[in-house]
Amino acid sequence: MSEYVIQTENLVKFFDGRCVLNGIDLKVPEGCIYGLLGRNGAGKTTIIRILLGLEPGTRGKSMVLGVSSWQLPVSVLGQIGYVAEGHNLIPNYSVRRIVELYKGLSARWSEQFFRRLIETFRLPMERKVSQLSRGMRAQLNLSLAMATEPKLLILDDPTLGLDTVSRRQFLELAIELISRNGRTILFCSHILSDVERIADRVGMLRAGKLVVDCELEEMKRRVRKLRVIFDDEPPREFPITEIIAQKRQGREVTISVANWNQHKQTILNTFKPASCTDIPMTLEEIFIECTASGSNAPVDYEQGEPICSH
Amino acid sequence: MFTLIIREIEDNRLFFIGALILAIIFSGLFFWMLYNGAYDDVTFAALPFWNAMFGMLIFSGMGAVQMYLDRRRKISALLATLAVSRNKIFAARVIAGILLVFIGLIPLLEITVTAVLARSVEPAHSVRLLYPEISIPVFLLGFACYCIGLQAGWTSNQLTAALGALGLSFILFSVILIKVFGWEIYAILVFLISACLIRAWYKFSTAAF
Repeated sequence: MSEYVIQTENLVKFFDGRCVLNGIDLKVPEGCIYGLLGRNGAGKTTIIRILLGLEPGTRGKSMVLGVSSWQLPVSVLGQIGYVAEGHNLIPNYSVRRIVELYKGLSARWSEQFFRRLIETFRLPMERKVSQLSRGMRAQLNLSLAMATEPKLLILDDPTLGLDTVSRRQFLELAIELISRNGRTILFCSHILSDVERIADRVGMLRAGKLVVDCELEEMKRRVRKLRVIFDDEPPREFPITEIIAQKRQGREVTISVANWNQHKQTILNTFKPASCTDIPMTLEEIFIECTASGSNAPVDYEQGEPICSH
Repeated sequence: MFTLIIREIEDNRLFFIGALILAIIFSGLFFWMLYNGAYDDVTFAALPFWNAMFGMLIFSGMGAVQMYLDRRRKISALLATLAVSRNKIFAARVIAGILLVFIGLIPLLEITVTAVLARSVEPAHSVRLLYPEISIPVFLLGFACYCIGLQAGWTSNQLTAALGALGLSFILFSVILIKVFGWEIYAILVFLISACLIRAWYKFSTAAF
């Protein structure tokens, strides 16, 4: 357990009889920036809430810094920084009062770092939180979380509502934080270019299941999109496992396959295609292929195995 | 812990101001009666008792508002992500409630001190007996109202919180009017306080924020 800052085993969560998380096995090593991706309602925020002890899991284990997340002691909570989706800061408090509250209740507080962030974001200290724009609330929330110098920083869609400049500032700060020894970040975002920029490992959730869990570069290498053209009618189906998506148009078939390897290449070659072209994919394209409702879930998905894993 | 208690007091300062105003009104009334020679043993019992009765609205109101606004503004959802346990958040809330109820006892304190200083009461009504006879029931009643509010306020429905707190407090008030203070009432109040506190704490400590 101790080599991972976050570890869940067969984590299941039901809400009103509906399965939101279905056997999640998530492992986030120390010093890693982990990008957790998924469409709306895929279960990202639920995982985070369970990890923070705000919500109990229905079944399975969830550990943060080696401790069960439902009973996180104050000493462990003091090592976690959290930026919530929607930035749920107390709306009727002034910025100054929220800052004082954080100072008083945090295990550590870096006044120097916080001052730097406040000056960078130009946050008005006397204004009420409810009077701040969504972007300013995001900046305040981020500044507060970062000033506590957390060992683990959990960010739930933190750049939502930020303009391009602020987003860039945020990403640079996140990179600065990670560059300090031993910092780990769990990062959920809908802005995949942000994740691509800073994450070194990604997980993708689809309908409550973790369908991808591997290093970003590894995933880009192993998830392949191929345009295959045949001289005649293409075969009805390919005996290749882990096909994520398939599109047919006349003699042309475009297939996206997970865990691409020489063995799968050999199988494809037996159909003697006229040409086979590799189409480069961005993280966004991989995400769409893996999480779109129309995509074919490979056999391994159904068995609960992610495309790539540790 | 101190930060949490201060936060509770600042957030609910209107209730503290209300309790203080009420205490001032009843103190003024007492001194006016004292000046006009219109106070007797009945005044000793009646003034703080009525003070607590009016305070009942403030006490139960604060309990309900603390819990209701906590859910609505997701205050504990924020606090619980800092280096604070749920038990501490709840304890700070209750300590703020106890402080509020103590403010309700200010007139009683004044009456007792004045009585002792003026030596105008019989030894039987001296400070030794005044406290167990008046301050304990008044404190228990006020604190019970607060706990009822605390228990009723943990709902997402504003009307349920308000009516629940007020309704239960009035039932309690009626029972005391009928039965008058006695050991049975003490037992009922202690039981009610324990039940409300345990239930509110259990709901709070196991809730999904």
